[in-house]
Order: sequence, then structure tokens, then C-alpha cells
Amino acid sequence: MQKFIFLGLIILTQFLLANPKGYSIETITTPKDVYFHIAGLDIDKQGRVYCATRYGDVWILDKGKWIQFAKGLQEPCGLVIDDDGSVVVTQKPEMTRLVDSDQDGVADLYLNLSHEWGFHNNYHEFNFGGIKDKQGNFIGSLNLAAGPKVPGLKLSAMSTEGGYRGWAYKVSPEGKFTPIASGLRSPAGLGKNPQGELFFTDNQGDYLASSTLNQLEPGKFYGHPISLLDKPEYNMTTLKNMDDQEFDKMRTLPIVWIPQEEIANSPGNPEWNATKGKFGPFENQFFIGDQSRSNIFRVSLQKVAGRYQGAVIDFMSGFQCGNIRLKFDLEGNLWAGQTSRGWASRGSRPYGLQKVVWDQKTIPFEILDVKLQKESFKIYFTQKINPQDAKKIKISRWWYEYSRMYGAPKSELEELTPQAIKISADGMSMTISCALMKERVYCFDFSELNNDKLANKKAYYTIINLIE
Amino acid sequence: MQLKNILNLVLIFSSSLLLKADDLSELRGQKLYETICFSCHGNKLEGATGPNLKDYEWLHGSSKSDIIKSITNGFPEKGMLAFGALYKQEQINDLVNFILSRQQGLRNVEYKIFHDIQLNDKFEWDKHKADKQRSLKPPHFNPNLPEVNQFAISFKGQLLIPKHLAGDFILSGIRKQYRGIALYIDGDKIPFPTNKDRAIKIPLNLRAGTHDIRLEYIKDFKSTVFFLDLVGKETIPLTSESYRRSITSSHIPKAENAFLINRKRITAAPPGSIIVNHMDKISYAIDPKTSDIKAMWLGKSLDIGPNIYARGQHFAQPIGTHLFSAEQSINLFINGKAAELKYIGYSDKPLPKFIFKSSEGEISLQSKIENNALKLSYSIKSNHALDINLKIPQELNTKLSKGKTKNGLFTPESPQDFFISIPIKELK
Repeated sequence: MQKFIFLGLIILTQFLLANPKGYSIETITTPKDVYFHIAGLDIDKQGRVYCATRYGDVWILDKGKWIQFAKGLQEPCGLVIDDDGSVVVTQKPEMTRLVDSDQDGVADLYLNLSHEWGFHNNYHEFNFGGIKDKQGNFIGSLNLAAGPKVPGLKLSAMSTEGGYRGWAYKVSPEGKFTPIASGLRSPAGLGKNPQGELFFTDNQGDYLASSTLNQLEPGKFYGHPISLLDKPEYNMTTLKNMDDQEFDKMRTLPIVWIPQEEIANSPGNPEWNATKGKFGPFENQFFIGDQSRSNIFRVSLQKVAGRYQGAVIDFMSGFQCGNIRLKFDLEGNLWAGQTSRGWASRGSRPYGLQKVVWDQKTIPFEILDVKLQKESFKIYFTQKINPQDAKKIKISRWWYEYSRMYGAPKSELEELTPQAIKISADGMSMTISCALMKERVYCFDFSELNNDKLANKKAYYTIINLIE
Repeated sequence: MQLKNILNLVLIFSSSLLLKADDLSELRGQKLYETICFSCHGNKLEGATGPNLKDYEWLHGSSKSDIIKSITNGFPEKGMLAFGALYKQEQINDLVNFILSRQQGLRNVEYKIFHDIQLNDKFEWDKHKADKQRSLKPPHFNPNLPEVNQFAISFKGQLLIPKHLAGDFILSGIRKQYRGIALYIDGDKIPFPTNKDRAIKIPLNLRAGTHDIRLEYIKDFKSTVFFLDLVGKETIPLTSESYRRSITSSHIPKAENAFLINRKRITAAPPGSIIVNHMDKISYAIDPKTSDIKAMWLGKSLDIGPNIYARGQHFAQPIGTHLFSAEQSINLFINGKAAELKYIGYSDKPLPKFIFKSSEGEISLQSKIENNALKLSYSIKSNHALDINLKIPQELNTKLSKGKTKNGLFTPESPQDFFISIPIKELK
């Protein structure tokens, strides 16, 4: 009897979590009695999994065995394996190359690639990384400081004492440090697409109404004003005297808004799916984990009027802990590095490592993608949509106001009536005509559909530009 | 009527029998605990080399079956035997009953944060939608959680009072703000002093069992210092600051017979400093931006517990006696000037070795234990002759390689290779 109840509970949770059919979560046992809060994750060509932990270690999972590769680091929050087999980690005070010079499987050289930014011993001054660009530079992003008594420039919740806090930067293989872009708040995840374009997520808070995915481009300012302290044309006084509207005009809008409490509160790194179908139908999309809600969601990109915008769709929930780092392995499994220390996450475990495995056959019924057209949206599905079901769609739209407030609700929220719905001949997509407006997040909600069919029922499309 | 009375009597009788059986089992368990377990887990289950067994945190599962399994199989690699081989299952069952009867403090606490709520706002807790709502781990009330400047925060959960502690307590604490804090136990508001007195001292009587507890906090003062403990036969921490003060399970990485290199935040050295400990006997902190040795202390390395707990807001603590004062350091001078160096990195094989470059050449600093002293060896490779000096704190007891010392400035006879040795024994 008990077994039946247990089984029933599993089915019920899976049903409530609405995960895509054919995908399962596997848990990897981490080294015994080791604080394994993962904040850096990469996988080499032999399939070895490298984890940087917030405790300060680097561990390698090699054929089911864990090897401690490095230790004593200061809360590394990014890890990338270089072509020569050395490992580049972003510690709080330093970007460090770890070299196993005597080839015994353990690093013996901890080489300073760069420490040319300001680190002032604040716990919140994280240094995220884990990405190498096309030219061979290592990319990092520097978190702003926080805390009730934190010194420096503070216009709202976060603070900086300068030294490129709130910036993304690159370091050449020779160690040359170059700041790239400013206005970042808590940019916990960096990523790239096959073209080598760079992306980052930012976490909701002051000057950031909801979390975002952004393209990282040189010289841009993404909205958090205290980072401007490092530009020669500003100082403490000028920044304190500026109002939010002035900062608003300067900022670059995100690719997508990631709705708070619906999709993610603390997104990690965007991981591009280039598995050539090994991970199912969601090729050429970003997968992003959330540290707070312990889920994984997808983002698809569309270039309109010269810049990216796109769609956000939830993917999978019910992980044991908050997902901050994602990485595809060679077999097309999606690994998730997890932590909850300091920032609580859903799930039963304080830290850990899990992976998502596709059964290589089941095509779940999901919203595959949403694309903007000149006067409509086109919504793609992974299976045929019933024309009767398609009519049950609900559309709403809103925007997020810019201000120093810590997160902001949806503004100008309104329901829209679709003007026309057309199902394609193959039944795999539908075109929805409705009132289009730039700088709006559109939500396409299929909640009225039969529950057992479509797993994730909402797609969110951020229109930055309309198609002229 | 009569039948009902008889049934009632039977019920009371059998439940008292049950209670007695439980009590007896706990007593037997306590005896076993006091002969075996106390040495690692503490007399009061507060933890020593083994973890605390009465608080919220269970490393290997908190259910009765989890704990039975942990005791039966042990953790041999951590020094805990598989007691299943030594004791009968009934005895282990008794032991677990005893441990479970000692569970105390806060559990299952949820918090809600409401942004931009001022004390003077007419704020109704139930009518507002929280900006954040989470479960709180560790479960101690922490008004420092919000990242915004102005907020209200509420905590709601359970308070476990074990039988052996039930009765009179003093609710004792320190607050920075005298308004905006309300504590409820089982729905009753605890009368905090209404004057500006920072100290809280309120007698309370708490029965054994589970109590509902709720704290409402609207930020008034810029600093949110808040200690709150229930002081009775034992002290039960209620806030995170009280808890942090109470935890005995610090985290001290050990060097043992070798050395340990660790990069953690300490107040005694600049941000980014690297701490080296040799054989749990002596440590030094080197600032890689300058090569200066900014601190040195005898004893174990660091308690990094505060640095790896929660968000890591607190600094790791050097353990032991500092050998020179905070404003002092060991500095290298090249040609009469503080050396301007580029930090290349360090090697940890076979010994800790820090490598720097300057326009004059390559400089390295290696440390080891030799003749019960910490030996710091400098090696300088340059194409031309250099004028090298080492400034050494005068309060530091040292043995130096051949050279001259004047006003705390050491000039080595051989500037390519020289050392400074700090005896460990003599300084104890």
C-alpha cells in the first residue's frame, strides 16, 4: 500500500511540475563530506566533468571517480578548460590559470592571469566567468557589492568602491585586462553561441525590474548606474545628482525579460544547445538554470532590426537544488551544477550535481519557439496542435519600468484579443495576429489546454523592435 | 455510560504505559549516549569533533530511520565506527529515541520580505503580498536578508522545547532599534520593553513540545544588529547572529604534516591575500600585489567557518598568536625603493613558492619548516647587481642569512639568495 502511495506522490509531483516527456533527471554523487556548492562547470573532450566549488576546490569527475585537482581558491564562480588542458578559474580576487605541470593529474601551478580590478573583501563581489571568446580572451563579470554597512557609492541596494565592479571584462591569454561593458548588477552567468557572440544573464534587483538575458557588446551600458563610477566622465557627486530617467536613456535593453516568480529569480549561465539533436527538438536555443526556483528554462533568439530579442519558455523543474551552472556533455546530456548557500533554493539538497538525460526517442509536446513576424507572431510546436486547442490561447502583454526600486511589478499589463489565428497546413505552428507594440513582453498562455498534453504552457516574447 | 468510562480508563492506562515505555527507552538511550557518543558529539549533544545532534542540521538525514542507519553503519573515514557491529538494534533504537527527545530550537521557518515598508506606514502584514517568500535555512531569524534599504520582514515557524528544558526561560537579547519588532509565541505577543533600552530580558515559561513562533520586523535603524536567545538550562539561539555566536562547529582546514595554501578573507591582510600554513604550527599571509608579508601567526591556519557559512559575509579568523602587529609587514626593497612587482603566481609542489617579476628580474619566495622554524627563502635572478633590502618588523624574532641589519632593514650578503627564519619553539 505504502508503495502505491509513494508511486502516486511521484506521479503527482511530476504532473504538477509539468516536465517534458522523455526527459529525466539523474543525480550524481559528489565526493563524500565535501561542501560541493558548484559555481564553475565545464566538460572536456574526454567527457571529464570539472567542477569549481564555492569552498575553493576544483574537482574532476573521471569515469565515475572524483579527483581533487585544485584547492584553496577564493570562491571561484567560473571555470573553463583551455585548449592545452589547463583550467582557468575566476576567483574573487583573481583570474587564475591552473596548470598540472608534472602531469600527475593535480594542478601544481596557480598562475595569475589578471587581478587588475577592484576587490574590497565584500562577500557579494563575485567574479563570474567560464567563457573564452573567439579571439582566445577569457571573459569575466564583476558583481556589485552589498550589505548594510558597505562603503562606496550606493544609490539603492548595491554598492561599489570602483575597480570595474558592475562591468564585464576580458583577459587576453597574455594577461591583458580590458573592461568591455558596464551597467551590470549581479551578472551570474556568461555564455556564447556558435558564432562566438557573447551573452550574460543578470539577476533582478535595484535598477533591474526582472532578470534578463543580454548580448554582451563592447562599450554598452546595461542599466545599473553605479558602475559608471569607473568612467572618467563621472564621479560620486555627478552620479548622485543624476536622476533615473537619465540613466534609463543611456541603457541598452535586454534580449529578453525573464519574468520573476514565473520563470526565474536568479538565472545562471546561458548554455547553447548545439548537440545536433542529441538533446531532442530544442536545437539552437539557450538553456538557462535558475538558482532560486531550481528549474531550467529555454531562450530562443531572433534578430530584428539589427539586434536580438526572443522568447522565454520554461523547460524542467523539480531539481534537488538551485541550478547555477549548465553544461552539455558530448553525449548531449545537460549537466547542472547546484548551490543554495546564502540564497535559498527550492529542493531538498544544499548543493549538488545533476544531469538531464533525453531518452533519444520521445518528442514531448512543447511550445518549440515563438517568432515575431511583420503583423503577427508565429508559434511553433514540437507536435501537431489541435485547431480547437489553439483557440484557447490567452494573450497578455506588459512592460517593466526602469527605476532604482528593488525589482518592479509588470506595468501596463493588459489582456489582448487575438484578431486571427491560423494553423499551418502541417499543424506544427500557428500564426496569431494581434496588436503589436515595441518594448512589450507578450505572454502566450495555453493553460486552458488539456493538462496531460502540453507540459509547459506559457511562452514569453520580448519585443524590442518591430519588423518594419 | 459505564462502558465508556471503562474504555476511557483503558485508554488512559494504555497511553501511560506507552509513555512509560518511551521514557524508559530514552533513559536507556541516554545512558548509552553518556558512555559512548558524548566524547565526539558533546555532553549536551552540542557537537565537538562530531556534529551537533540537537539542532536543525542533519548531514545524513533527520528521520528516525536515517539516524538509525547513520549510527549502525557509521562513517569510518570520519572516525565514527559502525556501531551496528557493537550494539543490538534495540539499543540503537533507544539511542535514537534519546537523540530525538533532545531536539530543540527553531524548525521549518518561512520568511516574507516586503520592500519599502516604513515603520510609520500603517502596515498590515496579512494584506500585503510579499516581494519575496522563502523557507529559511538555517532557520534562525535574520533581519539582514533583504538587499533593499527599507523593508519589513516576517518569520514564521516552529520552536521545539524538549522535556528536559521545559519550564522557565529568560528571553535575552540585544537590539539596535526599539520600535518595529514584535515576537509572538503561540499567538501571544511577547512584551518587549517600550523604552529605548537596547537589552531585552523577559521571563517566559515554555512547556515541552512544539510552539508556533513568529517574528515581525520593520527596519528602523540603519544597522540591523539583533541577538535573541532563550536562556534556560541551556541556551537556544533564535536569531542568526545569536546562532553564529553559538556554533561550536568551526571549520579549520588542517595542514597536518605538510602545508596548506588558502585564499580567504581575513581582516589582518589586504583583500586577495594568500595564507600559507605549515604543519598547523605557523601561518603567514602574503599580499600578491606587493609580495609583502602582512601577517604571521603561530598555531593552526584559519577558522574559515564564518567565510563559508550562509553568504559568507563574515571574515575567516586566524587562529593563534600574531607575531607582529597589524601595521607591520615584511617588505622587499630593490635599489632603495619598495619593490614594484608583477605577480606571476604560485607553485605548491614541492613547497609553497610565490613568483614575481620586476623590470630587474625574477623574484621568488619559498617557505618551509626547517629546524622547527619557518624559513622564508628569497631568490632573485637578475642580469645585473641589485641593491636588496628586507624590512623586518622589529618585534619579530628572526634568524637571518649572512648580512647586515640596521634599523630593522636587513641587507643580505648574497642578494641572489637569502633567507629569514622565524623560530617556532622559542616564541611559544
